[in-house]
Amino acid sequence: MDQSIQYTPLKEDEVLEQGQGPLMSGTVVHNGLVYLSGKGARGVKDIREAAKQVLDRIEADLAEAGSSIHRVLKVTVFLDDLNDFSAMNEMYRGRFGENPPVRSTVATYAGIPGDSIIEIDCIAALNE
Amino acid sequence: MKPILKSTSRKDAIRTLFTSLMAGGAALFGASKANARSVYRTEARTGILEKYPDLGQKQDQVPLFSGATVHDGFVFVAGKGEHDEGDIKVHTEKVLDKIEAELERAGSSMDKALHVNVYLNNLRDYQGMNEAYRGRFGDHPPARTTVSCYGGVPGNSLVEMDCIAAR
Repeated sequence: MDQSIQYTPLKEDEVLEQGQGPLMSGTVVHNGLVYLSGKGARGVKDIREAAKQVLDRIEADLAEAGSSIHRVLKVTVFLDDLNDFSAMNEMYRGRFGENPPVRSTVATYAGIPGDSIIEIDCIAALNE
Repeated sequence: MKPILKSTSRKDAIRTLFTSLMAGGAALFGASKANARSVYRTEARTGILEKYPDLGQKQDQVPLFSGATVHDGFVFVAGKGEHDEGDIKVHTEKVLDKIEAELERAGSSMDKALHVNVYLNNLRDYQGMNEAYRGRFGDHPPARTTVSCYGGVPGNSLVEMDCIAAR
């Protein structure tokens, strides 16, 4: 088993704060698993649109990292407002296939960095 | 140390759908056997991947999440809340009971938990949560992160917890 760790930088439009060296990586791969940084949708005020954009980004990043939405094990959803729960679920259902990953959802109210009303991160297994 | 895998897990690219119903798990969650979704199982070079259905959800649509997922010797338990009456101690106990049930269904146990996230609805419940939490994972408890989220936890739960464990 490959024990090395591969770090892939954030996309340019995901960097919220410039400085010396990155604050976080976009994806980290280790021992058959890929860890994704929390994704947001900057400035999007509609929860359905924001959720869709975030899930699209996650899907693309997983594919890039050699995994897929069907291999996701664990998801955390951070909502700015718990009232968005149902609408988020509408967009979320089915996006990870018939056998979805485990999930934890909480609402922060104190806000999510980058002017986002939703943030989602995940851990996935690499493809075979 | 790397988790030890059963020798069968090394077979390359064998994809199977494990269709037998988890009668034990279904009974644990109070769901009828007929309603229980099957456990999804696939085996690859990177290890076995299993997804255990969450039995609290309606069976007529794609579920939002699984109850537990398993990969390469790790068990990931879904965020659990308690949606009935009760104070923080009752909610914490019930949530931990649910985590324990998920871990055992997936072939793990509380003393193999590695990492726990605790999301409190109100930080004032911190002590009460701790009182019900202490000792539940044995003498050597997992790493833990606790935050309070003012926006709350879905379904009016006072606390939500998820967990990563070794199998």
